[in-house]
Amino acid sequence: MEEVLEIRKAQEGDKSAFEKLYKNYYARIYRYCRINLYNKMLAEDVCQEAFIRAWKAMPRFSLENGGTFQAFLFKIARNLIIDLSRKRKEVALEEAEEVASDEDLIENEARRNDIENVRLALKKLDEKDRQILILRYFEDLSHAEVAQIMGTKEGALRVRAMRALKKLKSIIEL
Amino acid sequence: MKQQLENYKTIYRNIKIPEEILDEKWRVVDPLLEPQRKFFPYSVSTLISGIILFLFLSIGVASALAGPGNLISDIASKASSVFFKKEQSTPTPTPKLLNASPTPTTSLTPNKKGDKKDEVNGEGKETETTEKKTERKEENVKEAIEKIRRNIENFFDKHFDNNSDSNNLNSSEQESKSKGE
Repeated sequence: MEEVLEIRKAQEGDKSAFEKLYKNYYARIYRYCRINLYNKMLAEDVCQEAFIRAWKAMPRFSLENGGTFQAFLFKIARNLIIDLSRKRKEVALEEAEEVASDEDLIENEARRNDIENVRLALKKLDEKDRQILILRYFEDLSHAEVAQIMGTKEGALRVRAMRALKKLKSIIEL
Repeated sequence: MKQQLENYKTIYRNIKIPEEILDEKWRVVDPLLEPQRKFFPYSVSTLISGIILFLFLSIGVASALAGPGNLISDIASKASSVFFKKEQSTPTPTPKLLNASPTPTTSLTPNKKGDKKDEVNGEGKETETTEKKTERKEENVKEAIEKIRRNIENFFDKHFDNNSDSNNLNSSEQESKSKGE
């Protein structure tokens, strides 16, 4: 309820209200950018750009029809990531190794193999399937929110999420 | 597999940003946020009235370009005829009568102290002035009519006498001719 008030204020141009929203969601948007871009600096830039775009688009944002602010932010971030990924496909593979050795992601050696397996399996998935799994199972967004971000219907997304999970399982178990 | 995903999830979720860094990042973002502009800052009624006005104008321009016998020219001709009628119906100013004295204005001079009418009734003076006005007007009209009558008489006297002479001449000529025959 408090968030709704902050959103309304931010829509009217209140920067302090938007600051609160920024601080609430920054970490989530950042890690989403980070897992998709494999680059700390780039993830920060994209995250910042996502919030600037969100501010500009605030007057058009509506909470009606099941719209949520986090879905709105993730959608902007996803669009930015897609735009950027198209530009720098060749760099992505090299930078993927950076994430694997990053201290932020890997706490201890025991988990390293598991994480590496999942990361590689995710990489082998189709881009849409990967996004669905990250948003649905790692970010814990609802099916409706993920459907909104991906621009599909909720029913179709549920089916696709199940299939993507099965694909991931089969890749990991190979 | 489930365990592997859970491990990945926990590590993924461990990415957290300290408050100080967030403040710092906000300081970078804050000046980049421009004042918001609404997509369409006008109300729906303004939009509708604007569309209607635009349609009227476009129809007007189109019909004006179409040539004579169209809507615009009809409206213009009707408007001009109405205007003309109004012009004609307006009463023409009556010609000023010769030697007609200007209508007396109400005198602003203070009343004499001895004026009993004023002392008795304030309205008495007004009625008196209106009566005087009408009398003067009537006199003026009579004078003017008299003058016009005199002018007409003079005119007829001058011209009719000449004509009558010429008529007499003509008749005498005819008489002499008949005698000669």
